[in-house]
Amino acid sequence: MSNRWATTAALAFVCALFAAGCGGSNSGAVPQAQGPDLGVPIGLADCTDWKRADVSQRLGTVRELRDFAGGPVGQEPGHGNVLDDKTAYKLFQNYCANFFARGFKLYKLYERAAAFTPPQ
Amino acid sequence: MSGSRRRVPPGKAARRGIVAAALLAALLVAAVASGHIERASYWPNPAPDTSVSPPAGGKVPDPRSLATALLQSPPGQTRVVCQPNSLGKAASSIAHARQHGYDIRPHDHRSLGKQEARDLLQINRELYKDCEFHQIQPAVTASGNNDRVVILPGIYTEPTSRAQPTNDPACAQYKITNDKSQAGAVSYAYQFHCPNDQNLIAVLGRALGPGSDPQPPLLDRHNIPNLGRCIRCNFQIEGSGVSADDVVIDGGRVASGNGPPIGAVKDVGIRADRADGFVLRNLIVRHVNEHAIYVLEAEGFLLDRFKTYYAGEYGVLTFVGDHGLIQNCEAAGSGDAGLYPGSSAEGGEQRPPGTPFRYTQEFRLCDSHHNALGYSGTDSNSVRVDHNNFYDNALGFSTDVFTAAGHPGFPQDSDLIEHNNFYSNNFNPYLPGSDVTPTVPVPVGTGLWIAGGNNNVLRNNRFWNNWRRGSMLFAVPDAFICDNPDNQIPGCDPAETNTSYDNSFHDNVMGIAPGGAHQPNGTDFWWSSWPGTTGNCWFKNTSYRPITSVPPPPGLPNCNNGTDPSLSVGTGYGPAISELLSCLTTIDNPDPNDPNCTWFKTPPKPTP
Repeated sequence: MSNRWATTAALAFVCALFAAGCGGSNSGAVPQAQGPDLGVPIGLADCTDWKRADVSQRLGTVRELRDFAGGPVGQEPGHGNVLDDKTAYKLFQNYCANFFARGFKLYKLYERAAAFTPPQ
Repeated sequence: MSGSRRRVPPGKAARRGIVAAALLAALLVAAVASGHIERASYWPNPAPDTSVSPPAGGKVPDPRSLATALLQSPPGQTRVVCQPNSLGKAASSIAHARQHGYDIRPHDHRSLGKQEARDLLQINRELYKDCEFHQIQPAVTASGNNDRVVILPGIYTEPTSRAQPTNDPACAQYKITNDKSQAGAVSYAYQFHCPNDQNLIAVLGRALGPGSDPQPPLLDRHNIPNLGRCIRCNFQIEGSGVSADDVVIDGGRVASGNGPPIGAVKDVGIRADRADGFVLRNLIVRHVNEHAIYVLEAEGFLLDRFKTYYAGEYGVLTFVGDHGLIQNCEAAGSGDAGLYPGSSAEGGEQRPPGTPFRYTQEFRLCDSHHNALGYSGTDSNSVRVDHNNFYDNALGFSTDVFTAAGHPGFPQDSDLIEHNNFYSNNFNPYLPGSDVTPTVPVPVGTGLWIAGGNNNVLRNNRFWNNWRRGSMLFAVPDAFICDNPDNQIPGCDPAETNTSYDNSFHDNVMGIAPGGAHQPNGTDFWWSSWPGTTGNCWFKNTSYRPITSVPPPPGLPNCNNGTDPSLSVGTGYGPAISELLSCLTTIDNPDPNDPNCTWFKTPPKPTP
């Protein structure tokens, strides 16, 4: 089994399981991630901050998290996997609707989800 | 070469390390949560610094006994911190310990002998005569290399430190832009000039370097650039009481005792930054926003006989540390993990060429309980974890690569986890009314998971009464960590899967408490069997009944009792992978209480 074949097979396997599918386009109304953030350092922002924020602040936060988790860095930029903004927004909306998630750090949710979301 | 994994021999790993550590390093903005944006940090040079005598670092430092604090002979000077009633508290505590004993931790109760008690009281009396400080930070600030600060019994709130502003404009000039283009990261210079902005107590081991910190940060994260000379190396801070219980450092709501609510005023309790040869002993740190004890970029350190209670994130956070020993401790009430060695130095599969395999940190003889996680270590390599108790957490133990972009060391490898007890990790911090506010989603009722890691050995542990599972092992494919084939996290290639290889689980006892009672786990072993992963073996594990597993028997490779790991090849177990996707993304499940993900519900107690 070659490396790439194995990985392709594995990804296909996951894609089959993953309801959102792989490599799909971001059709529909993708939030434009811009605007002010939540007013706290991105590493500290949690679901309580998310729920308190308005849409514009949330979109700004999604943008910040995209940079935090996967933005260009260093002299030879590298980056971690990122979520598309629509997916990230839904992730936070869904998680943060629950009381138990009130203290969840947004970056932890984001990076865990990115670690299990096939690249777009 | 095994499966689809790009196996890396030590030499090659280190050669690649320039690119690897480099790039990874480049990504190394502290991914740990912070009220402040953390600077990019570097693994310290593992060699001893001989500019001071005795040399600093290069090994775990030897602690100096309390009695030697009374000696006038070098090395070092002792500064004593006390409160007006310290001596009375010492006498009372000693008398109580004589009668009832004392606790190093919940599982280590000791008695105090008559002569031992007399000696300890006399030492405290002598120390009290020398007391010149009533707050700890001034004593630390006055200290130099080889010095020590001894704290007499009492509760220390550090009013002067508390009064220092957070995000002080006076130090704004020392904020730097990190490698993710985040402005406002607090540099070492920031800590140096405003030590109590973030921290209740700051131990800064080195002077400022002669130059400026590289901007952007260096790609190779080995060796700290612009490192200043030792000014507080081989520094020891300790309580003088019978146990840690006698000296309390509180960063928040004192009236909470050792419980909640936190009511934090500062983010960090004690910060030991570039403090090579640092020793901390015999005290409690509690009630901070983030980390009770934070050891960063330190070469050689010992944390011994301490307790942490109710830290918003981590009881103990060591980051990019080397030659560290953490022992005889208790950690409870953390929103993330009680104990967290992030990006421990590479001593395993990715160690520098020509160097022997070694464990770069060790955690032993600790009780970590009633946290979201008992222990966690992202990209934490070659850590030895032994003779601990992880209980009453939601998840007892985690090592992972989730936040690899912020941690050097990907892929995680080479931990040795042995002779630990993982039991009754059924604490559900997600329920209304929980006294711990969790900051991270994990599956309630689980003893341990390896969320992307290699060559980890779990042997001779005991797992019981974890209502969901004893242990979990799953891969995190590189493509999900780094998606750009041209610009990679070192060691990460989206065309490959570099995690979940060569882990072994053997000679563990499942579902039987130490006294012999049958207290089963919901399932003993759980494996995602990621397609193409190899060398994962389960053998010689015992129980009072047949071992239970996901995939169901014979789904776990025995590898001919561990003699032939090549017999283990993952083929993908759909239900397991579906669960991971459901619980970690929940993107299409608006209600995380959906049956697709039950992680946040307490599992039913399994019947023997």
